[in-house]
Amino acid sequence: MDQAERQRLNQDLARLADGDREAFHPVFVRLRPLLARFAARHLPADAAEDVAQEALLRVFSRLSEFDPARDALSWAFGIAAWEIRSARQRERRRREEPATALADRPADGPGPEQSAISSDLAAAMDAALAELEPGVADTLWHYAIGTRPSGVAPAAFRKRVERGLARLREAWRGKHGAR
Amino acid sequence: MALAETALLSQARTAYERGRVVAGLRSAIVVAPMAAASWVVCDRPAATAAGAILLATVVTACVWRGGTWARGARLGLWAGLPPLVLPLSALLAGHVCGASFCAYYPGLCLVGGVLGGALVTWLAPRHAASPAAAAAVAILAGTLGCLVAGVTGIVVLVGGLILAASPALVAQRA
Repeated sequence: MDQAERQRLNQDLARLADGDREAFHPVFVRLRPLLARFAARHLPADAAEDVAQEALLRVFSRLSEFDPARDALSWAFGIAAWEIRSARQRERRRREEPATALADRPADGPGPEQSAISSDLAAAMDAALAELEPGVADTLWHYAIGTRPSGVAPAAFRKRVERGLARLREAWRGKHGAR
Repeated sequence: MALAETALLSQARTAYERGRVVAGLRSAIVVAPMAAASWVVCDRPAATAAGAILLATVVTACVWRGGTWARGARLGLWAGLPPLVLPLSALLAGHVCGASFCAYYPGLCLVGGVLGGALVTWLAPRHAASPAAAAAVAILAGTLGCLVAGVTGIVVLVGGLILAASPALVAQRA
């Protein structure tokens, strides 16, 4: 997407956020393929289309909150990143072992207590992440999987990660104290 | 299950309109403390409830519509504060009318209305807001306070506010 196209998207999104319904169709036509490609980069093909559509609907339902001072594409991708993360969590939960499988666990694997602790920690981390803004969570998610969002300089990304980790620590302390 | 393009377009439109209604309701939340103050001080629950529901509905509709209407409604909530606060404050301060005809509260409603109208005239062009929407919301908000002065208070509030906002209202028509 070139700069002029991005500028037009910014303007149309700002108009639509202000209530100008004539900007609806141009925004839909521009955002649809962008979100589809974004989801396809992060999810398997079978799930990507569904998540892209959910993200598109979420973007439209939250359009009244869009601040025209922000970059429209980053804002929309922040929402899409949140949807992608939620889809991954759903998928992970779906794949979790049923409780009856605990008996078949090999003797040298983690014991039931260790598994329960790990599972509790993962749930607590998810809850802390859910309290962060989508943009911050997206940055931490990129950091966790060892990638960097396109268009973000390494130094800027490093600073965002530092800020994001600080926010995550705050959210964690708010829920669980200083542990 | 992925949706067909036309179904997705229709659902996106619905999601957008629903989001705007939610934004309108969120803006209308400020009506609650206004109504609570009117309810407690004026002791006219039915009139307060009717006024508050009407005000919340108008604010929600204007914000849902968007553009100059939304900005006008938000400005109107501010412009409605003087006619809301002045009579309620006077009553809370313990002013009691002794005469058979009391001009004190209607006078405060007139002053509040003129102040509100002046705010509309001053701020509406600067914020590209609809003066009509701002005046309507300010009148409804002010009515919650001017209930203490009865029908006379509301009439002078409307007169004062429209008079003071008339430069902006005329400019909008031109």
